[in-house]
Amino acid sequence: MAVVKLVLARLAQGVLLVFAVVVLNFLLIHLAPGDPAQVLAGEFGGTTPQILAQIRATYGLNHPLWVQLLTYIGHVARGNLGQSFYFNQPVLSLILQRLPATLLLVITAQVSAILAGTMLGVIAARRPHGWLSQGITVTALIGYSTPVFWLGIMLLIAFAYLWPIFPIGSMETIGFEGGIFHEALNILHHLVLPAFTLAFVYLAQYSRLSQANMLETLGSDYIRMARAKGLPEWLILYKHALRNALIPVVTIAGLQFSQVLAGAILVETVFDWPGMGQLTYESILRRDYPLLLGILLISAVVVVVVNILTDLSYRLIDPRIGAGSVTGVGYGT
Amino acid sequence: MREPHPLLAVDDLSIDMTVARGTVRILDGVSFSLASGETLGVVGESGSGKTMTALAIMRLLPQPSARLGAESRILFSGKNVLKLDERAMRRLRGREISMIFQDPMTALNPLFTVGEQIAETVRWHEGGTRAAAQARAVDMLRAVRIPHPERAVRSYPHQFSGGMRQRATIAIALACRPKILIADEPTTALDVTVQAQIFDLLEDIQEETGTAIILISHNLSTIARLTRRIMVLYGGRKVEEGPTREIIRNPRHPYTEALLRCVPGLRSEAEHDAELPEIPGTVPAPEELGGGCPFAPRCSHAAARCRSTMPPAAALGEKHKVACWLHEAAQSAVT
Repeated sequence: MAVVKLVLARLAQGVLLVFAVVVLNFLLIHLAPGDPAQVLAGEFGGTTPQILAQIRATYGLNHPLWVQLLTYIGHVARGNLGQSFYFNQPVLSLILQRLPATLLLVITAQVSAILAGTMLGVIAARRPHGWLSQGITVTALIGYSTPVFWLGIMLLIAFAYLWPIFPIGSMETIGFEGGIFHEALNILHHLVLPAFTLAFVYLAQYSRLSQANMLETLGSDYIRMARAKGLPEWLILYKHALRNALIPVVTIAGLQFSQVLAGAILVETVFDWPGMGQLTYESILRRDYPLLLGILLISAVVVVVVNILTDLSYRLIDPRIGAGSVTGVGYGT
Repeated sequence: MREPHPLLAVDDLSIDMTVARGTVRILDGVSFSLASGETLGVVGESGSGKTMTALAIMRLLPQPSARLGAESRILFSGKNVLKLDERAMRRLRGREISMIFQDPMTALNPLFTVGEQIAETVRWHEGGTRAAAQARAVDMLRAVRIPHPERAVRSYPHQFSGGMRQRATIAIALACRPKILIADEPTTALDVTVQAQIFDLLEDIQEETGTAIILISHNLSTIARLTRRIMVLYGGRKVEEGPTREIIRNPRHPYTEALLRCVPGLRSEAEHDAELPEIPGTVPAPEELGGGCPFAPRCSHAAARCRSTMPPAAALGEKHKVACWLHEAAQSAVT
């Protein structure tokens, strides 16, 4: 029951946080230069004061800022994120069309970065001065300092143009027909390059992190105790050490999720991936306030949900946190 | 009747350690033996080589910085464990020879229940079902007198107090009924009252199971009660060895003597009001040792010879041995 209580508490915090995000974003965007009415008028070919006034009246831009804010909050609370200026469609349905593609990309990248990174880190921890360990350090440094869009472009040149084993962009082959299985394979094929691009930076970071944690854990007393018990090396490594070394990895994974989400914008643009990233790019370019606000809101919700999941997975790994003391038998200190 | 060979015989054990400034000999030619069911006390200050001796027996010396001397032999039931491959050595660890450590707060893995940490040892060494191993875990927790063992078996280490954690590590160490238990300063990190309880427990366990114990401590008085025989290490060398009672009553090495003077409980009434003495100087770092007696720089009896040449072990009676030039006359049998 402690877990349910915790989730409820976290959800309440999350709602407050999202509310704050909505207000701040709204105010920030209106502080930024650029006038959506001008942009929209430009789309129609000419600007006269009458047209501008008409556009402002249509979209409620003629009201004072605080009235606009209250109206917006009222709408959001009822699940209405407004109408996109540019696409002339409800913001929510625009986002929901794009969200699955982005989640697929981001989660694939994040999960493979964590899994592969941790594995590399564990292997490297066995030989802290070996070539693998050195290689990971160098790769981490390169990954850190490489702009994600540049890496994406290089990969496209290498593996979609010079040696075309992967498609050059998009999420599916246009007009592709086939069973569900073949379609899934087709999407997977398109997913490889963008997911790798997005995962690359984090892969090296996770392997550095897990290697450092493994080294620290392997030097601890309970590992010496496990050796003194006569346990084999693999059991010590994968049961006793890895689980302890994973705790900080989970922390970082939760913290970095929002960064991966942000990185997706660039990757989606480079790979023409039909996700939220492209939509974000468009909405900024077009001064499409309702759409941009909607995207920021949904991203905030996703990040909050991921943080709650991170919190819960902590509890799964480490009995010392929260739930453990509630179900505990209470043997003194 | 003498056994064909003792349970454990450590013979000419030397350890070289690579440090920043080069290689130093941290243990030099230490020999001793342990009969089954016996309790041997190993006494010495920090840095005297006690823990390294214990780790060498377990073959858990820090790698690759520590290297054993070429003549070193550690015979368990007549077999040299230094020659065993890692696989065979693992079958020995935890099953034939177990070890518990100084700090029970960090010796247990925080992420697994106490029961699991006992049961995995049993399952690994003896096989059997999960349920059987779990049942053994409950029995072991009961044997080390942890209250409500059925509940405690499902607890995590952080729910235990320090004393209970040390009991739990003892339960782990004894789960496979080993022939030898090495206890490296098992009570140093615990409250005084808890220390006494742990010693009582070790004493009872020894009576019940006949496990031989090597009890390592820097405190002569704490292990005097529990041991029949004591070995005193200083600067990586064995300086004195003999029956506990004789060593307490009649220490022959100046270091043992000084060590005993520092223990309040074991002094005579007349000394009681006097200021508690201390041994002047500090334990030399291994790289500062020359060829002489390691205690010479702090010894009030030290002569020129002490600083240049290490005295050999001299037998004073059947079991009492001392390595000091003061007892040169007695140097007949040398081990």
